[in-house]
Amino acid sequence: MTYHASFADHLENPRNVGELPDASITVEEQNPACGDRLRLSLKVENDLITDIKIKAYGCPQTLAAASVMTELADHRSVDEALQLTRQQIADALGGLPRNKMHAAALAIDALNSALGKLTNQSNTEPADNQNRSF
Amino acid sequence: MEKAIQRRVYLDTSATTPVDPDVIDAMMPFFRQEFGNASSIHTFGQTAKAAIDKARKQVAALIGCTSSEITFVSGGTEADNLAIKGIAEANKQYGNHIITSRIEHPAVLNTCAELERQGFEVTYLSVNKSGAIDIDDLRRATTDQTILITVMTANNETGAIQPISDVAEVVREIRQQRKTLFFHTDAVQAVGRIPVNVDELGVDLLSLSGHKFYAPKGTGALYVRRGVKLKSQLHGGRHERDRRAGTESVPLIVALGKAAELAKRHLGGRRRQIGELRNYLESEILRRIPEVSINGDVHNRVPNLTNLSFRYVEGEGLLISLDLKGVAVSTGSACSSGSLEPSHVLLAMGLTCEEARESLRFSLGKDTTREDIDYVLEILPGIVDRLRKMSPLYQASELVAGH
Repeated sequence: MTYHASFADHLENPRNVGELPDASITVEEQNPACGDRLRLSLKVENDLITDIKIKAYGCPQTLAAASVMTELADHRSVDEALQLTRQQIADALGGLPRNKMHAAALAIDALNSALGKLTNQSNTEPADNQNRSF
Repeated sequence: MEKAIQRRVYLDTSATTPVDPDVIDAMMPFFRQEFGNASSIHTFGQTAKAAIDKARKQVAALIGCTSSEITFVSGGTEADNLAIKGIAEANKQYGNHIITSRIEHPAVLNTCAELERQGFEVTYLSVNKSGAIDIDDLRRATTDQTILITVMTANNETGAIQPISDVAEVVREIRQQRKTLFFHTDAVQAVGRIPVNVDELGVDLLSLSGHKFYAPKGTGALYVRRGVKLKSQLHGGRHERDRRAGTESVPLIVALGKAAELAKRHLGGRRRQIGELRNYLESEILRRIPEVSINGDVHNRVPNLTNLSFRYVEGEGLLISLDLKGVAVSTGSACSSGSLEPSHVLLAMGLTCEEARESLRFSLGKDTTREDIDYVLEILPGIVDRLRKMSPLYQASELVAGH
């Protein structure tokens, strides 16, 4: 077997798949070059990520990266989650080849985008669940 | 932590095939006992030469030509290069125009692109939804500068068989006026899978590759009709009628000959057996999994493959999920460096980028069993279901469809 066990596990048993009906924020990020998509829903209470769900379309690394990102971000504070890096995503999957690092990038971009929008919302208006780009 | 794989199923024979044990037996003596150089005059050399002569007859018999019309090369890519560049360079005083199709293998497309850089003009014919070229398009594309038409016999991604004898008819018509037009076909995916006869097809040059029909990689041949001149692409000794210099790889040539003999002997039976299993696989996938479509012409294709698009899931995710269960298939689209390269063949057929990247090619061989297919049918629906449940496109579609 030539796949890292963690990558294979996340591909075959993706974590936190779905959507949150009571999400604090939902975003959908797309890699414009290859069309990979990641929809991310977060529930944030008192600056803590209390629930996280994903839907992903794209190459297997994109699916696995999205799955492992939910594990790394779940029950972290917003500040902690913002510290997550592409490399941590890659490492958690046993490493990603350079030409597949875009998978880790999409997962981090979606997380940062969701947390950024959430921060903007709380700075301006009450949360609005319709804030999705899809 | 490695998981035990229950079964290994190889459904990628359009990429390559295992070497037939009889082929290995035939080639083995030519490594140690009969290792002579076929150009040598002594007995070692004569034995090697006789083995090459026999192999040449075997390959010629498979495609219905004479031995002297076979040039041994290293594979399909070299055969295509030799045919296309060899004809173009030998006939450039008569014209600079080449016609091919948009669905050719890169060995043809990139050779044509190289000739474009050298000043030749190339027309790339479109294909219809079934993946076949249109003969009227071909007629319109020909000019008084056209020296070469190169169209594949069967496509490597969809298996679609091209109207080769119709192309030959157009070539014959044009030749009434001018002689310097040649017709080449890349038959790499057809030879050994469907009957291929150079006279029935009406081609002047034909490329074949041994590893698609149970010979080792590194084997292949180019058929060149008697009287057709082409410029050698390798200069050196006077091997292969001055068409391809270099000491012949006797074991590989013997292997190709043996594989050709076996392919000819078993063609009918294998074609039926593999075709039945392919049809079983395909119809059961369509029955068990919703929103799957067949890419290509179901009525006119090689018997060993089916190309299917699974809506809402990406081919590579399916491919690796199947691989984790021991099943090897392939996808024509590749996602690397963050940019997607969807199959040029499927895009040429009018599929969207998304449909193209949702495609998977299953290709069967002589060793594929019904148990293999049943295993795939057992695991595939669950994999597709899992990936669809994960796909944001699937949910969007459900919402649109009002489910």
